[in-house]
Amino acid sequence: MAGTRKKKETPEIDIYKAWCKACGICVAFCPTGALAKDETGHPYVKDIEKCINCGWCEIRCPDFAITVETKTKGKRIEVKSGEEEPKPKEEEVSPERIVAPRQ
Amino acid sequence: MGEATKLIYKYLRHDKKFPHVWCPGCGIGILLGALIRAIDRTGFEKDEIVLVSGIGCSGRLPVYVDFNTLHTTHGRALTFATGVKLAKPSLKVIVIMGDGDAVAIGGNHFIHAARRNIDVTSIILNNSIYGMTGGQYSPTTPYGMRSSTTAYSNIEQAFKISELAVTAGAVFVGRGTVYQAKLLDGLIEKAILKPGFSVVEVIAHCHTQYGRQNRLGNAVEMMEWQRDHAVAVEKAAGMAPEALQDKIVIGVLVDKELPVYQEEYEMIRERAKATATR
Amino acid sequence: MVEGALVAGCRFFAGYPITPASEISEILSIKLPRLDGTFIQMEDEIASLGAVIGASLAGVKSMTATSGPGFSLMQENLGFAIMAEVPCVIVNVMRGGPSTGLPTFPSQSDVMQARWGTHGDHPAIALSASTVRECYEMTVKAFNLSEKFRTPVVLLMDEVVAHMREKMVLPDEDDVEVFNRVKPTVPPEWYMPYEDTPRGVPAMANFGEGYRYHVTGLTHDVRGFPTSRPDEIGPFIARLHRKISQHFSEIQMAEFFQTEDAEITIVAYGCVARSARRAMIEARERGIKVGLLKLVTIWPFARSAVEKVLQKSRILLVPEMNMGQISREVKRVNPGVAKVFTLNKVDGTIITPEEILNRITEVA
Repeated sequence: MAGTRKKKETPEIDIYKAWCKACGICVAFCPTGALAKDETGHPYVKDIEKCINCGWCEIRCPDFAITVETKTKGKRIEVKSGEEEPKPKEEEVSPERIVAPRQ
Repeated sequence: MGEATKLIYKYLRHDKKFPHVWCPGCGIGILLGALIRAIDRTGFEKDEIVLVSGIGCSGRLPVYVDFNTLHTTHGRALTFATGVKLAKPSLKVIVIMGDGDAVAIGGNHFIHAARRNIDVTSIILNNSIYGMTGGQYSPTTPYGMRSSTTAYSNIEQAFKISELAVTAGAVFVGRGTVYQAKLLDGLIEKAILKPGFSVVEVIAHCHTQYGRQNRLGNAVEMMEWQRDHAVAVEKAAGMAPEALQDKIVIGVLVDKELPVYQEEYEMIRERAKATATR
Repeated sequence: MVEGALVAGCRFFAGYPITPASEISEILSIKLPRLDGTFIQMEDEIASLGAVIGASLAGVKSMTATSGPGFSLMQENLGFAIMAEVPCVIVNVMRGGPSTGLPTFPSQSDVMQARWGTHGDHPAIALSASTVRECYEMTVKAFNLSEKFRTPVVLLMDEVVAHMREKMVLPDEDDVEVFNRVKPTVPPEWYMPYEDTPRGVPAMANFGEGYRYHVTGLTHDVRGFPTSRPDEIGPFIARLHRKISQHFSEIQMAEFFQTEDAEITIVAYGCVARSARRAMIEARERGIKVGLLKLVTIWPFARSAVEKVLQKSRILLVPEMNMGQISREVKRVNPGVAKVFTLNKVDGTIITPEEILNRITEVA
């Protein structure tokens, strides 16, 4: 994917400390390493530029304590050739791909 | 706030205390999110949904969501659900059970609800252990594993819940893991929309009890195990049984048509009325 | 009895076959679907009462019928119905026990089980019947009380009464008083499903009518949510008891036969009350002043009725087809002014008028 993208949706990650139990799931399964743990084990946003807005941290959070909001800004971002965005593995089993076996 | 979280807040009971009661990293919270997303996708109103649960960690789930909620006795959730559904068929009845709830103490109710094809959706959270009571072995604890009551080793064979549901006659059976949470959304949505007895088995982790006693690591490590052992049903179809030994086959396992109990009973009513007037 | 249930508005029955209560299932399986009601045969008695409670929560008057062994299985969900305050009716056609016991023989041995069978400290309502007419009336009454007080009501029958054939004219349906549950009138956000009220009985919303609330067998607060706060637990359990205890006069039914001048009063219920009445008449023919107190409400125990006969009688005789269950209650409420004698029979046969008469002449 070379060239420029017209619009990069810069997401905004909110972490509700009051609800977070520091289980580490969001950090462990963040596909790009945008999140990291602080010294108490709670997550924080280490590098928002790495966030690809896949939403898995929000989906997997057992405590509804993290949310990713898409902020559409007219920012242009260069994406160098060869540096493809990593795809989360779990796409392999997205519900759309699962169909019932023929009876 | 992201869309998914907005949706969650729409369905949570705001007068309940959060964070909820479950351990940090517990899969039940992830299932709760999937359940809410699935229900929202089906388009049912909050008033139309009756969420029934039994006893155990999973039994605490309904209290957090703004539906008609019913927390019953251990293993009996499906019997209460049967009564609710037959008395008021316009209600959509969803039952949340744990593995001990559904196939130990409630095993008989489970197979009979499936056999009758009552229009109820069962979601079974299978974490292979009795978590709330302190980690005793359940009917789904695998052979050779440890628990509070199998300190030397579990010598019993484990039930395969989905396969049991298929054999008992459930018209829709799906299995997923909490790691693949988005798959759960789809499975639960399909199950709710399916007329008849539908089952979604949710493989979850109990790192607090099962994980600790068997040295399987924390919630993250146990979810990694789910990721590494889950095989989509289409892929599993082409695999040798030996290769599937330690795998979890996920996806839609059965989706078939059988007469639904309420519709059949409606015919019985017509027949009864005809004989009464004769 | 089936007619009583249908007149009272029962439209849901779930049960499991058991002698000697199966006839109730059989007849309802034919009659309920004609009235757009539902009959279902469940996999066991635990499931039967579970389904009955579920149906009641959905707004349909519901009942089940069983006998001793099935009643044992129902204790679990009976407790749930008490705790979650779900109206329903459970008919127990008593047979000899313990265990499988005597399936086709009469007994009165589940009296205490109806009171204390399920665990925990709880109130209980149990009615009995000794005639076919009473079977009808008490079934209606059982439904009315259960709806009025939001509690399960047990109807204790015995094999004799359950299989009895007597002529009775069914009253006109319009003449039968039927009580329907009080529903909330407040907006849903104000609804407190377990709040205290002057009567002690909160209004009950049915599932699917806009009042989304939580029902649980855990000790709960006024909104139905589980609680472990002593200041909420205490008042809740106290209210469960109070809603029954402050309405004793409404619940407790008893009949007095010639007790005004009776020196000896027989206290009996169920089929034994029939023998007792015969014995009373024969004793009077012999010049012994005998009266009969027939208990219709078994629980809560009709203390005031016994106290009333104690004003005159100095001897009480309690014939029962068990080893002495109601006689304990009679002894408990007797402040020492009368002698309480028992007549117990547990061989599967009914207590005859002669046996009671003999016992009267013994103790007189």
